[in-house]
Amino acid sequence: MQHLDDGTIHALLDGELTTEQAEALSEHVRYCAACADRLAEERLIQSEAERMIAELDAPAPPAAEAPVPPGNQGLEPPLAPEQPTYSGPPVVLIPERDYERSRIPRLLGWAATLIVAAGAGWFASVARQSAPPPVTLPEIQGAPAGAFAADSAAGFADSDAMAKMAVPADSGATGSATLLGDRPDSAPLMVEESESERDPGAVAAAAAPPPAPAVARDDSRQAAPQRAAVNEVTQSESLRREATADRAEPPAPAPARAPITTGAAAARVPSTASTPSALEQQSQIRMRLGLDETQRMLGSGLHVIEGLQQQFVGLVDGRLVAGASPNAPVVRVVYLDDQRRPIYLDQQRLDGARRQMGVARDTVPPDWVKGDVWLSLKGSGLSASELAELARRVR
Amino acid sequence: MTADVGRLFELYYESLVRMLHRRTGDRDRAEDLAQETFARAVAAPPLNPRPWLFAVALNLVREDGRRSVRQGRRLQLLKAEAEAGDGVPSPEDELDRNDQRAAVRAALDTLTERDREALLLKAEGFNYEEIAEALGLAKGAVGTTLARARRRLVESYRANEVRRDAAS
Repeated sequence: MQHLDDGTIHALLDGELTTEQAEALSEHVRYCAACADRLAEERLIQSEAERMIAELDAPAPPAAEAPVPPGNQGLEPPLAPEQPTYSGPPVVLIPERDYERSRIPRLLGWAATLIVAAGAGWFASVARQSAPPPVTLPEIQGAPAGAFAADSAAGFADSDAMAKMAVPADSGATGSATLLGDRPDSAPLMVEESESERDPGAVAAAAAPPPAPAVARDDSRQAAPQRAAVNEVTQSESLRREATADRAEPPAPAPARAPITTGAAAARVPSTASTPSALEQQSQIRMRLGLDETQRMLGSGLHVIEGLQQQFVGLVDGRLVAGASPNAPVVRVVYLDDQRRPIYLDQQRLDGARRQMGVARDTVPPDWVKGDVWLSLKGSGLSASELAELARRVR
Repeated sequence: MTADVGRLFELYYESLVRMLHRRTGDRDRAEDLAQETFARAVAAPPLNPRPWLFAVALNLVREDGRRSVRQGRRLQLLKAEAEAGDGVPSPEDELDRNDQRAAVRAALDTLTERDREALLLKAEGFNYEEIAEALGLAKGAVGTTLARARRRLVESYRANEVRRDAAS
């Protein structure tokens, strides 16, 4: 038999040949390495060209406005910023606009800050000498004197200057409001970490629910009154126990923590596949498919797992699926189970040759034939019994 | 008769607009051309509607393109300016996608009219017989046409990609 020409190869790839023709060509390709190579190459070109044509379609609506398919619900973290809940004394925030004012009021603010900080330091040293030592909190003993100033500042929360004072007093060694206020937005996490190491009193604040990135800056400022709250805790053993309990509570995962997660830890987090695009990549989906296309490719309706919400349907290479014909694409329905493990239900229309070979006989899940469609069910980390249960629900 | 065209509209309008949009890169123009195509179907109901509709639409694209190449370009420029000037910052991935789309369009423009149309019809699910009918080809030539079109499209895209990488 002669080598295959381009037109014949593409007719084969497009499913335009009769069963007999396809069988003859398959037989030839089995023994002709050159044609097998060309077939593989042309298949790549065909899929690449199809993908490129699909790229021409109009852009999807902006992500914020795009309707979320039911199956994608719960895949992504909530978009609304999670304000950390704090039940302690009133929080003293430094408004952003303070740093946008003219220079003179800022200098005046600085002067007032220094004066009040010095006074607060003096007051703190006097208070420390006169007051009985904290009962059982060694970490509070190690807290900088400025923490008391922060406490005082919380008591005078109406005063702008006092509010500013809270930051340098709290930041102790730096004593500079601008260091905190003007630092780049990328810094808060690092500062928060170093503060936690330097000032054990901040541990309680760090143990609070982690802030969303948008509020990280304000949250670091909130640390001052939170530490003031810790000072108050020294007066009350019961409150101390509460703070300890908070500290022992593992922090909930949040986007702000992601950048400082170690690589190994990040690899373990199943949310790597939580975004649709990541899941699409992981699923080796070449191109998403609509219902019309799947109907056309399968020659029948799409098989689905009853009671499981599909994430999306796409095209994968036949070579990737055990038992599937490598010469034809496979329709893959992607699911996530309640533990967010990906599950794939692969489907391929049986070609005439495989039908005639009786491939449909004696097939059992997870690789089996239903009607004229080859089905293959896979699940990452799923046991055989779990797969069998899912296979029973395939309709 | 009108009811028949109404049914055709339901069946093929979306697909036709998608193909025309892929062909012209202009959604409004694609919709206008699709409307015009169906208007012609009302005037002369086709026997084999799908190939007929797409063939007429592609003829309209060619006529329209010859008549108003400059105007179309000017309109596209104005549209692009309007979109760029609306003050809404585009996400990076959207920009990438636009670049990607432009690169594919550039590659598609390097193909001959027939190859391009064969590709677009195939992307709409046409079988070889329908493609042959819509484009006036022998059915046996469709495989070769598609093979050539796909290869040229991919090669042109890759060559442009290499040029872009070298330039950047």
